[in-house]
Amino acid sequence: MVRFFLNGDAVTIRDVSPETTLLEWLRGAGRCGTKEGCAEGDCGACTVAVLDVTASGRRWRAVDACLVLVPQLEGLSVVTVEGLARGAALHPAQQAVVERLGSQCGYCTPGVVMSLFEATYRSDVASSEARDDQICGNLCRCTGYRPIREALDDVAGLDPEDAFRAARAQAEAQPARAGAGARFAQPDTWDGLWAALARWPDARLVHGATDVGLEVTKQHRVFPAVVSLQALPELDALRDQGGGWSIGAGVRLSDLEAASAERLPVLARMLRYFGARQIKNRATVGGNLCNASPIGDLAPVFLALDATVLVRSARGDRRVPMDAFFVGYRKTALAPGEVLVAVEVPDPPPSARCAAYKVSKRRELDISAVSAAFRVEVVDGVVTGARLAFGGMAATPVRAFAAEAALVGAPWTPEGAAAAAAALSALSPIDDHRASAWYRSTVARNLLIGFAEEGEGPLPPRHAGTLAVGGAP
Amino acid sequence: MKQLVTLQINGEAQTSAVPPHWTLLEALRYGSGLTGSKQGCDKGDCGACTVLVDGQPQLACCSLAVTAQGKAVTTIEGVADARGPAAIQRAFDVCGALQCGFCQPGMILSASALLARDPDPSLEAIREALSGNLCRCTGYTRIYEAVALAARWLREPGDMRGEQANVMGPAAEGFSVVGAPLRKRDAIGKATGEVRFTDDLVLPRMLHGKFLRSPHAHARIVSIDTSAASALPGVFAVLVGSELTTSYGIIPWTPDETALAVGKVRYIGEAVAAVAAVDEDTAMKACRLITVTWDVLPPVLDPERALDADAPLVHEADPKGRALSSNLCKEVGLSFGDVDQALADAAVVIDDHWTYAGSTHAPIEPHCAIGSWDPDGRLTVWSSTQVGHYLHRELARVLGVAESAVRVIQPAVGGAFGGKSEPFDLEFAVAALSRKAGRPVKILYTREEVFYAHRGRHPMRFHFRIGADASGKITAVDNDILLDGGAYHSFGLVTAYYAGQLLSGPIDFGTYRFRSRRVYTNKPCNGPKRGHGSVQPRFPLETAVDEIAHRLGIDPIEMRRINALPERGGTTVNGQFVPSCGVRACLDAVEAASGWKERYASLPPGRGLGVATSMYISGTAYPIYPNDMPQSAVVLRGDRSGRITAFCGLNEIGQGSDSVIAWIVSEETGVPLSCIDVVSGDTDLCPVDLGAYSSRVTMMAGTAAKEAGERLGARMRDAVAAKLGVPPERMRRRTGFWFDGDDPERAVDHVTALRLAEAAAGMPLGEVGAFRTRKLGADYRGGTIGASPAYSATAHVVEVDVDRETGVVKIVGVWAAHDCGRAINPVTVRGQIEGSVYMGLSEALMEEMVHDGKGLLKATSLLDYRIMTSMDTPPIDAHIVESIDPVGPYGAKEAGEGPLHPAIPALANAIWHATGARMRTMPFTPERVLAAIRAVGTREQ
Ligand SMILES: Cc1cc2nc3c(=O)[nH]c(=O)nc-3n(C[C@H](O)[C@H](O)[C@H](O)COP(=O)(O)OP(=O)(O)OC[C@H]3O[C@@H](n4cnc5c(N)ncnc54)[C@H](O)[C@@H]3O)c2cc1C
Ligand code: FES
Ligand code: FES
Ligand code: FES
Ligand code: FES
Repeated sequence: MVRFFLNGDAVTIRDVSPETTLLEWLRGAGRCGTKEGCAEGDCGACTVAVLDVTASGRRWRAVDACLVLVPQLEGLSVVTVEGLARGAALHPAQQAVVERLGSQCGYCTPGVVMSLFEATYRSDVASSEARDDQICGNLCRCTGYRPIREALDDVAGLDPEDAFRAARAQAEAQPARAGAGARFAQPDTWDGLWAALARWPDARLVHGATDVGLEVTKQHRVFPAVVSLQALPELDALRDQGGGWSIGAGVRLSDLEAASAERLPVLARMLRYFGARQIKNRATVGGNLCNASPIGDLAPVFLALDATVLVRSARGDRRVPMDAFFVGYRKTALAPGEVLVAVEVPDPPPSARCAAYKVSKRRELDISAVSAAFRVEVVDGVVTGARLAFGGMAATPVRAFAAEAALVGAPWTPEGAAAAAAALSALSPIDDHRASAWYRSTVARNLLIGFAEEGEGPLPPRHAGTLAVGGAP
Repeated sequence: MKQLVTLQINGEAQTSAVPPHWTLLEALRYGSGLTGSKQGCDKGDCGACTVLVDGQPQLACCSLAVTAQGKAVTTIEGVADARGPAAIQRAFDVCGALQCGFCQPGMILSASALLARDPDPSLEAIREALSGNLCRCTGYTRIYEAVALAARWLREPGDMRGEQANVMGPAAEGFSVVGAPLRKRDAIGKATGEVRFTDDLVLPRMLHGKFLRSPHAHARIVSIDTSAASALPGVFAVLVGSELTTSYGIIPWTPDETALAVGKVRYIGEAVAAVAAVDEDTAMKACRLITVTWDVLPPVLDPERALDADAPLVHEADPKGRALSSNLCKEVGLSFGDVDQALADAAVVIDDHWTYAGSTHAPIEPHCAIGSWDPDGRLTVWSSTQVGHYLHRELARVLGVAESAVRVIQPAVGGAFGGKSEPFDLEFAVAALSRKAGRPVKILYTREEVFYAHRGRHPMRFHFRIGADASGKITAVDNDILLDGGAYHSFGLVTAYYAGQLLSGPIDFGTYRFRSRRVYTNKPCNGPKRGHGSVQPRFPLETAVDEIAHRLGIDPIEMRRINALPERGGTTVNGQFVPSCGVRACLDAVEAASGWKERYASLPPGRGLGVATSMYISGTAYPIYPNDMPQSAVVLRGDRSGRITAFCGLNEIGQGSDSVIAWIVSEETGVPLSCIDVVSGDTDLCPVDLGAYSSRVTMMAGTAAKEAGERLGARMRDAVAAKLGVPPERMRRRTGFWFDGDDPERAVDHVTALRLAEAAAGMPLGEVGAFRTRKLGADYRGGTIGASPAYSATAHVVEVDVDRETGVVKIVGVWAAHDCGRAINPVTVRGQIEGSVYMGLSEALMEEMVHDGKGLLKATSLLDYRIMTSMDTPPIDAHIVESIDPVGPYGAKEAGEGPLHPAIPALANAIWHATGARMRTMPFTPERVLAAIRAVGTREQ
């Protein structure tokens, strides 16, 4: 059984399988305003808003209903496009789409409206980058986006005094989210988690479900059981610990992006080009690392920054260095019954220069052809330490040890980098329809040289405009 | 001790026992549960508790309940009625007259009392009436505006929402509607999620269907065993190809498809069987229980290989059963003038190969259809189609029933772009499954299935030769085109012609020859995508023209001016008559807006500008199946209530065609837009329109609407003239009125005008109008293909920034000018231009249908098949050029497809300008761009 609020009304659903997505349920229940365009998180037609409460605050978040597992909604409030207007009075997000003629065929419109809805209540969407990010997860095939973007500009940050603002203010700081069902558990204590895992040793762990959701909608997977980590305490916390930062496994990537802008810009830079807003509003750090994808975008950053992961099981805690975490194609060092609790990232030494890059065909909502993260320590123009990590260059995210060795002791110049880059040939990149091996190695090399070219001091974006390639100071 | 009190609350007698000290407010809130009336002070200071007692505003907190015995009390709960919120309530919302809303109930009742006694209150009167109602939030201005607006609405009834929402600016000179920036009719319904698309419809007892699709690109079906599937509980019908063998195809001469594969499959993803069950999961489970025995055949995937003598045959026989010996599905060869001589004489010749990648429409709504039979054996199919009429015909044929026994209804369609412009397996399957199961059946494609249904842009390979004289005049074009058709014919015959026939303007060639061959391969079938067949050859033409310009030292924009067709009455080298061509004005517009002259020579390395032009048809002269009936018709029904309903079979797919009809009818009759309904996309109710393709709707349905509107308008005019005693020629109209041109004070409103006309006719008002096919086109075989009543013209300038380390191209800006003849509504035209530009740039930069060596489509999701997000889409600066065409309604041509064409070559030309690399293969992915840059060696890598 799951209980949540839909457009202000309490909803109780009995006998819902853990593989039921919110989109499926909504449409089956006759709430057809929310559309299905792909059922895999790519189009945003199914966008709805969830009032999410985490250690980072309470906020309305736009999420893709096709990737939300219904039982995970326990205790939460959901708003769909049908819940916005008050009688004939449209919500500002709807009014703006109407005024700006942001709708042609109208199929993307409900999702667009809901992304605008999130923006209406955000206080951090002043920049044009943030606005681009806000709607890049809503594909529209008719309008060319200009009117949608204008509608967004109309409403971003309005935060009107209305029922939605009130609901956010009134949301409980610690909503009761523990849930259970026939093949489902969402424990809110660690002991509850160990009990659930003891009961179903084969259970699939899930957090944001942006990966697991795809297995459900695309491969029609039925799991022995699903255990959700969403209600566990402290998982969504960001903590300063002497000389470093501890990032909870459950921190939503959109929150991490905001928090790391100052604290760890190199990470923010990478997150800038990650998925789309709706995905980042659900996706977590733990999910990104534990799926162990060779093209997962956070792994290279954490590898370059020499991070350690904190792992917990009924038996206790242990720490695993990032370098030892990925043990094979889509395989991690986690033993059965273990969950990732946090990633601990030491502050880069003062002599370090860091950068992260993601190269893909599309600026947003794309899988990397190559991703890279570098941490190079330079003293008096000479490299004293180097950690060079790549995604897309092997079966797992990897460090380029040979190139690192070649770099240490060399002068930090484009020529020095070029010489070291020759050693990248030790890697054997993926060769597939997304990009050829030739392209991946050429770009990996060019990224390293380009990094060295950027020189000292605060960096402007590398090539004015080529934002698919983000450099970070 | 309580006392019995009877009150008439909101029209209903309620008797309750109340303590004698209760105020009316307490009795309402606690006794009757009517908490709408607010308590702000409980001592008569704020007015939040205002109710009407016998029609008079009264402070409910200040009167005892018992004193209201027997009186009529109106509270806020009684203001709205079954029709929805009252005018005053809507007005409050529209004017933004509320913030916290606590004062609103009292305000609204005070205002209602005022409006009841004074239909046209002055501002002073409004202030006076509301003086007892305190508001702490709004500053009152908006509240006063709201009361005034409500008063206006009450005096002039009409659709309040529509009226305030629709008009955003003045009409063109001499018109009352045409040329005005108007909102589309469905904007609000779309913004609230109320508009119903096909998958939003649910019928009682409806089943859900799923397909079993082929895992092989080419295989014979030896046998199919469906017994286990049929036996699965919850399954109501299973269908295989042999039950529905009548073949169909959008072109009547080439019906080579069947609803489900018969005998063999020709691409991975082709439907083999279909199941209807209680839900999708059960249907899917049943599909997995079907066993097919395959005889797997070698597939042919490459179009050149397909022409080899020993290539496997995709089709062994043609639709008539005659054996085929090759995969060549259509070959066209046409020649105009002595091309070889002209090439030999040319000062510059470019001779090279180009490759255009296949791309797909990817509408955000996946295809969906519902089939249902009524007890008398009539079939209704609801479908997300853009060609309801052709679907109607083919359904009847394939299912073996009379056309009169089929009704096709097209609900709102969530984007189509050519991807829903022929019948698909699901439409036949829902009909047949529903017939078998005796219950309605719905099928919704998964996104993956949308990719298999495809019918997207044909991949084309070109061997293109072009020559120019020293002055830059294009003297010869020779184009050898190979089209990869995929597994079926689709529109193939037309595509093969269009690839050559539509290229001959706005750049005028001295001589022209093309050969175009379309071949079958074992891949999902290609068809028409926005700019059918004519987008691809623009890529070689416009990039080669650019190259010639640079070789001759001519500015690329000037180069296009030198070669442009005349502005009025031009004829192309292949004999198509072009009544108007505004390409020069388009070039002027983009040249100025992009700062071309100042910037072209001085951009830093890595930055580049590129230009390109194009021309496109506004409908085709002839329908797909030859007949002498009109291509489009409109029936108007005038009602004495003051409304007009327009019936037209057109297919609204988001482009705004319903709105165009309403605007035209309003223009011609003076009936306000809020009083015009459009019924479209229903083959039972509407006269024919052939569908939303080849940019024909404004031209054809618009002409039909204009003709019908003129006729109905003439009747209204004559009837009013007779009433006023003035000659009909002196009558004039403006929105809502007919009046005497010499004495505008003598006017009759549109409601009266319709009544007078009905009285004069002595029968209900009905009128018809149509677009009839005129003879067009040149006098040779194929000379009518590409013949159109009018042609639009477009020019783009694109600016890029190319990262030379990664090959990533960022589009910095795009300026697009489009000659649409007359913009009946500039806002929707702009929407079409912007949407087209976006779509063209997207396919140029990242879209590609990629298959592996076995014919498996590699990108079947919107993540792997990349389409531009808002992030990649540059600011689009759209300009409208109005050449006022002599043929189209009010001079209108088209705007839905033409503006896409130049995007691709303009982008390629900009990449060249930025890097020196000439892109010959699409899309321009980072990998291709990086390779091209390295090949020219403009920079050490
Ligand atoms: C449209 C779209 C775009 C995307 N774009 C990107 C992108 O640009 N870059 C990128 O790297 N990824 C991308 N992804 C992939 C995905 O969103 C991320 O990997 C995300 O971070 C996964 O987090 P999650 O919480 O949703 O994981 P879930 O789906 O909940 O879980 C993923 C896996 O991790 C396991 N897991 C989760 N949390 C824990 C834990 N604490 N301990 C142990 N195991 C755990 C689960 O069992 C599961 O196997 C995209 C996905 C989609 C649908
Ligand atoms: S349906 Fe496309 S993102 Fe959910
Ligand atoms: S309006 Fe059609 S997809 Fe956006
Ligand atoms: S409650 Fe304030 S006047 Fe009645
Ligand atoms: S709107 Fe708040 S008191 Fe009037």
